[in-house]
Amino acid sequence: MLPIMTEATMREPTFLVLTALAAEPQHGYAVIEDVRRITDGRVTLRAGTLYAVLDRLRSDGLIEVEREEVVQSRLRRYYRLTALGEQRLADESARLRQQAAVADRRLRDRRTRLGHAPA
Amino acid sequence: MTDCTERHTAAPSNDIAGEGHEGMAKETYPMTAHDELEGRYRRLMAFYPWRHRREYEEEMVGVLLAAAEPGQRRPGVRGSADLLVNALAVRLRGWVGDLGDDAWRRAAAAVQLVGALFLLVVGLHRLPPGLTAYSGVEVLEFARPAVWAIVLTLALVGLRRVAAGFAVAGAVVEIVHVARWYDYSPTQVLRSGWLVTVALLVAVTSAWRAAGERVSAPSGLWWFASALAAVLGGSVADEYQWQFSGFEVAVVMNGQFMFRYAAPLYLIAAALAVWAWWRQGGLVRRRILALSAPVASIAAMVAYGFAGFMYSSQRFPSPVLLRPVQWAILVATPVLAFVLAVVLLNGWERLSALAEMGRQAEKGDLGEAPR
Repeated sequence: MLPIMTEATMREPTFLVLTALAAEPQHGYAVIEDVRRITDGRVTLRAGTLYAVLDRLRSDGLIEVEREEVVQSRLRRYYRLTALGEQRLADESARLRQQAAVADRRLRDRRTRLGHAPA
Repeated sequence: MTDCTERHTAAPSNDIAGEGHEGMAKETYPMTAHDELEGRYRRLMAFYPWRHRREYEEEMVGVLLAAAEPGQRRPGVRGSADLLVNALAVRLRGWVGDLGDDAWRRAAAAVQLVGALFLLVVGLHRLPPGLTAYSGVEVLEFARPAVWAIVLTLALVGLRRVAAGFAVAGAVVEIVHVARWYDYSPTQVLRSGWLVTVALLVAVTSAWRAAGERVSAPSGLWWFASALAAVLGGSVADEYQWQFSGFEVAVVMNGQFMFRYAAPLYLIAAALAVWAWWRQGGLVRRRILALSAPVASIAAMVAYGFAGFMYSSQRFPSPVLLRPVQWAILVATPVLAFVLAVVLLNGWERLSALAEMGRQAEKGDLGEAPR
C-alpha cells in the first residue's frame, strides 16, 4: 500500500485540507466547506475521506487538535496546523508552483513557435 | 439551547416535530428523518475499527448530518461508499502500517540487492555445464546471470526504474528456466519453487524501490557478498567431496573418517550473513525478515506439504502433473506468508511502542529512575 504522502508527493485531498487549516483552526464541516470554496466547487470532500486524511495528518504530526466543543450534543473538534505541517505545506506549494511555472513557460513558447495567440 | 449529554433525550438538530420536546415523555418521542439517517450512518460507522470510532465517530456523525439535506432519511450511495471504502483503508492501515515508510523501503533495497547478488551467483555457478555442452551453449543459462548482473549494477548506480524493469525480466527468465522441466519432472519444478520466489521477490522489491523516494544502498552489502563467496566455496568443496549431503559434517567410510571441508565455510557464511543482517538496525532487520517470509514459506510448503506428491510422482512411469488447487496453494502461500508477517510485525511494534510509553510514563511519575 502506498502512503498518501511522501516527501516528494502529496495527494490533493491532503493538500487541500492543509490549505484550509492554514487560514485558521477549523472543525471538520468547516474544512469541507472551505475546500469547496478553494476549488470553486470542484472538490467536495466527504466525511469518510476527510477523517481518514485528518487521522493520517495527526499521526504524522502535521496537524493537532486545538480545542473541543459540544454543540447540540455533538462533539466538534477544531484542528490546527503544526509547525511541521506548515513546513510541509510550504514545500508542496513551492513544488507545485515550480511545476506550474515550467508548464506556463513551455505553453508560451509553444504558442510563440506555432503562432497561436496567447490565452 | 442546553446541551444534553444523553443522546436519547437530546433534541435533534433538524427537529421536524417542532421546538423542543420538554412536554413529551421519552417513550413516545417520535423518530425524525434525521434520527433515521443518524441510525443508518452509525450502522455504516460500525465498519470502522474500534479505535477510529472511539476517536472520531461522534464528530463524523455530526459532519454527516450537517451535510445532509432537510428530510433526508437515507445516506446517499456516494456517501455510503465513501464511508465503507475509507473504513477498509483505515483497517488496512491499522493491520499493515505504512508500507511506504523509510524502514520498509530500506528493507526492500536490502532484499533487492542481496537477492540479485544471490541469483547472480547461482546463475554463474550453474553456467559451466552450459559452456561444455557439445550441443551448444544454452542462451537461457547465460541469460540468468546476465540479467541479474544488470539488475545489480543498475540498482547500485541508482537507476531504480530501469533496474525494476530488468528485475521483472529476470523473474520471467527464472520462471521459464524452471517451467521447461515441468512436463518431464514436476518435482524438479517444485524443488525450484523457492528460487523462483526469490526472483519474484527481487522484482517486487525493485518495483517498490522505484515507486517512491530514493533510499541509499544498505550498509553491510560487502559482508553479505562475502557470505555468498563462502557459500560458493563450500559448494565447490562439496562437489569434490560428493559423499556428503544435507547437514552432515563428518562420515566414516570404509573405516576412514572424513571431515566435510565445506562445513566451516558454510558456518562462516552463516555468521557473515547474520552480521550483515544485524548491521541494518532493528526496524529494517525485522522488515527484512518479513520480506523473507515468502521464500521460507514456499520452501516449507514444498518440503512438507508436497512431500507426498514428490514421493509418489517419481514412482509413476509418466509424470504426475499438479492440479489447479495445488497451483493455487503454491501461488497463495508466499503472498499469505508476507501478509501474515506484516500484520504480526505491525502488531508487535505497536505493542512495543505502548509498553515503552508506559515505561516512560512511569519514569515521569516516579521522577528519575534509580541507577
